[in-house]
Amino acid sequence: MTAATTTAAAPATTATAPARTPLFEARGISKAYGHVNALMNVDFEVRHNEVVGLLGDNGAGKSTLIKILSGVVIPDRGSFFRNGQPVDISSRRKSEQAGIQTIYQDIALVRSMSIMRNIYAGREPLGPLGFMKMGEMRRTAVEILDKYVRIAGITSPDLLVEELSGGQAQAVAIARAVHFKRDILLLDEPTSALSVRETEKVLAIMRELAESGVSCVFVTHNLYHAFRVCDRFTIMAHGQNVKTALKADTSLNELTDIIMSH
Amino acid sequence: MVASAVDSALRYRRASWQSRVRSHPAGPVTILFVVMLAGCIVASLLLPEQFRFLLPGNLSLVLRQIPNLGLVALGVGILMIAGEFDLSVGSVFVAAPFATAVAYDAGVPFALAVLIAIAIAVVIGLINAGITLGFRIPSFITTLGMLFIVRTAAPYIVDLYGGRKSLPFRPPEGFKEVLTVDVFGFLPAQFIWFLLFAVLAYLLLNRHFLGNHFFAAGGDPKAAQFAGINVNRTKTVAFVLSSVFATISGIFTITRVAVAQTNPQLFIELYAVAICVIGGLSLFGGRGSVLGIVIGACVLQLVQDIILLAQLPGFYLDMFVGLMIVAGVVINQAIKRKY
Repeated sequence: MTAATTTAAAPATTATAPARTPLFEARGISKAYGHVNALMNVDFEVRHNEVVGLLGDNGAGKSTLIKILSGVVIPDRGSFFRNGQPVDISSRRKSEQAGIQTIYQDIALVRSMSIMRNIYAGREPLGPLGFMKMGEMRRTAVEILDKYVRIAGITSPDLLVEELSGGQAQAVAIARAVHFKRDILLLDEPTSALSVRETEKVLAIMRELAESGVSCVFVTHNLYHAFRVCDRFTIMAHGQNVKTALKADTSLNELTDIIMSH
Repeated sequence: MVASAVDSALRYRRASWQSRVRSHPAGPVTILFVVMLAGCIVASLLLPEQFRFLLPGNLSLVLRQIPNLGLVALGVGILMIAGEFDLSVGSVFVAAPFATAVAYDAGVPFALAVLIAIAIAVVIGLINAGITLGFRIPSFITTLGMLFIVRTAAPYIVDLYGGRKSLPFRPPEGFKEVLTVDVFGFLPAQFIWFLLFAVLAYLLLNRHFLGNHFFAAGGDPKAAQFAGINVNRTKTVAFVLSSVFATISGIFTITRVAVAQTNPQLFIELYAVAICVIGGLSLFGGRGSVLGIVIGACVLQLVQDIILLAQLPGFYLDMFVGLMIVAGVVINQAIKRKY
């Protein structure tokens, strides 16, 4: 697969090929549900230090692709590579081991639990007899909140998630993922239910993450949001990758036209 | 982006104690308990002949009664935090300890006889969990069925054992002593054991990884699963704990009264749920505290004592329990709407 892939409709953008092997590549991914082809020979890649927008209308295949990358759905065909080396992402755990973390807006965190307990849910640092290392958890929770995404308004890791705004909760989920060594974040409609101010925060966080070495896949219907933060775009329609383009080589109007024309 | 450790420590501090008390699930019940207790003390001082609350005999009786329901409520509460109910505890409380009495009466070593009861509890907990989680049936229904199955199975087993519906239970003296002695002459040992089990439950819920998983599985099973927690396995452990706590309570009870019988203890399961609701546990899972359960058990027993001392009809207790359950649901819904 070349750096910027085009499969069906539009030519590839080849003017600015990357110097490095992509961080993650999915090649020739196909998935059918009965007679319905959800994905047909799709190539998709995530480069180092970038935010890539995964765009398309409803039914385009974005969700299926995200589920496959998350290890929730097994593709019928296709292969995956991390830094050029084949990787297995056939389960959620394996996908996470490959550095991928999906952050769904509505199920990212347990709302009735504190930030600290959420950060460590399922990954508690354990001492003798399965007791949690509370001191270490607190210290690291504070570090996580400060290190990866500075979240205004969070005064204590003891705050319950339900006391946070949508944007703050997203930021905590992102911080948790980054701390646990995930360097590819799949953000599925992270801004769809947020206020304008909250949306700005999440978009800013994505940019900060990309610059600090964590690449983001931004799945959204909102082309304006995507165009503001993404370095590259992959547009899907009818289960195919119909265009991949660098931001410098396309425009908001062109992206809109491509989506509308399929 | 990276801040110094000093910055972090300043920016992220522990929540203030006022904030923690306010947001603690046991906050309202603690206030209720303190007010009720103060009211009882004042009434007892003002009317020492009519309202004998402060008599050592009365206080000792109250403390003796609390562990009975309190221990069952601890197990039910852990399961409620994990997002499920267990109504079968009412039957397990009777049947599993009866098995201990039967086995011991038949000559089985005492420790083994106790283990038989625990094993029965574990099996019932596993069956409850298997049916509830395997077939995605509300645990309320599964355990209601189990309540009746165990309740009717126990007399059947009794028939096989010569039809004796009650058995004298005389455990080894040492065991009986540590469960029935009065410490300092007035503090029943069972109350101290109840507090010890409460501490264990607190450590489990708040310091052990299983506790974190119980809260997560009950609060939002999808998010918990997404975080890598095996929700079904977590809930299965909670089902088993619920049964085991009911069995321990039953063994405490038959040791105290020196008789094991199969007559059902009516509504013990509902009282246990009521204690949890009074104690601030959510009926929808994910919220609650051991402190709330302990104080909830104390409140229920206090109400019962007030009814006795004031010579009110006994059904007032049922009315109180009913009111508390309904109030609990209303408060739970209000909290859900708030967030």
